[in-house]
Amino acid sequence: MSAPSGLGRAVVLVLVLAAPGLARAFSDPERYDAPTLEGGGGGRHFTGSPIDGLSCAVCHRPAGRPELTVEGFPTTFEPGQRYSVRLSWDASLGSHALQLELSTSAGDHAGVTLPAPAPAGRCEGSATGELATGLRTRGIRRIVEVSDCGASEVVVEMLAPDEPVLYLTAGVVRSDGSATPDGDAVLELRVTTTRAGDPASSGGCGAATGTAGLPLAALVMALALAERRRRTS
Amino acid sequence: MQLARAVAATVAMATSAVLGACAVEPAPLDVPSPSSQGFADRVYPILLAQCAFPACHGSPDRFFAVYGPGRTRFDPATEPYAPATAEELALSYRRTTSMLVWPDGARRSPLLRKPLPVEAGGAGHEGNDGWGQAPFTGEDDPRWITLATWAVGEDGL
Repeated sequence: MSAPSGLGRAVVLVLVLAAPGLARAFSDPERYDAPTLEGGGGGRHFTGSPIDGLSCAVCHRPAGRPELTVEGFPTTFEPGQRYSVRLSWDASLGSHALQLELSTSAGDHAGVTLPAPAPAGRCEGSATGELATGLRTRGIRRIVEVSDCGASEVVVEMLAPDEPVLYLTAGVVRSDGSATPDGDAVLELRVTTTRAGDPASSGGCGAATGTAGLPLAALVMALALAERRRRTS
Repeated sequence: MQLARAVAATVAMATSAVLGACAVEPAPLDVPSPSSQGFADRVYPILLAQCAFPACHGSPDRFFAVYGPGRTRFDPATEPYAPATAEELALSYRRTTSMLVWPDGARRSPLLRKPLPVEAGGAGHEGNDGWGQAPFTGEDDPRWITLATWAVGEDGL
């Protein structure tokens, strides 16, 4: 990894999520560019990026407790510096599929390239397995895809542009293998990094298991605040 | 004793008021009926793209529900990517036009107000994206304009 010391300290995040899961027919990334009348996404790729804010949770309802590890995404970045970002998961729990972007707030890709994968980035984790990962260029976007064929990691290279904030966003679905809408585990991942030397922003790591996640979190916070006020009054 | 009689009388009056109110025939709803062809051609694709995801308004649990290809199928036996069936179009049309019922007219109706940002005249919408963005950016969003012109019957169809 090429992150400079002191600035590009590797961020290792282990996200343990309570997730339920509902998948429907709309789950084939090959269809994401197709017109909606043909069952496609109409250009949506469900990465949850700043210009494609919906994620996998609009179709899948969380079920389960998936873990995802993110390494190499810096807390602050140097423009022009190359970073190697690795996402990994336990494939023994089931096949994981990802749609991922590294982007600016305007949605431009953050100098994204996809190096040749190690065996863990291939189907069934086999050195001779088919590629599990792919990169789609769509206008200003570069979307990294991981097929649900048994890979356990994806490594993405980022050449940081001179922007105040960069985002790592991903929709992650761990299938329960039932081919039904129910039982899949779902993760909406959003991590931010700020340009070195800029004032600290409200960035950081965020993850939700579905569209109801944020309101629930707000409710819990409100209750905690109310309890704290009650105790101090 | 007087208190008990007063309470009994009050309860009786309240009961008769409630029963009386229930006996009033509700006024029939005037559900707008904009062009079904305009719905199929112009509005339905937008609803599929913006609203009809299975965990959102593709859920049968929602009153405003839109069914179709690549989303929730009304008949589970329908092939996932087969074209929209007549039944799906008809049901989606009915649910959509029901969302146009509003005392102040269709332009103020939930169908046109809920998907707008509050600061742009929206009514609030739980299903904004992870960045808090509403489905449409404002009344100048071409997709919203398509919905609005259809809803008020000005799309020429």
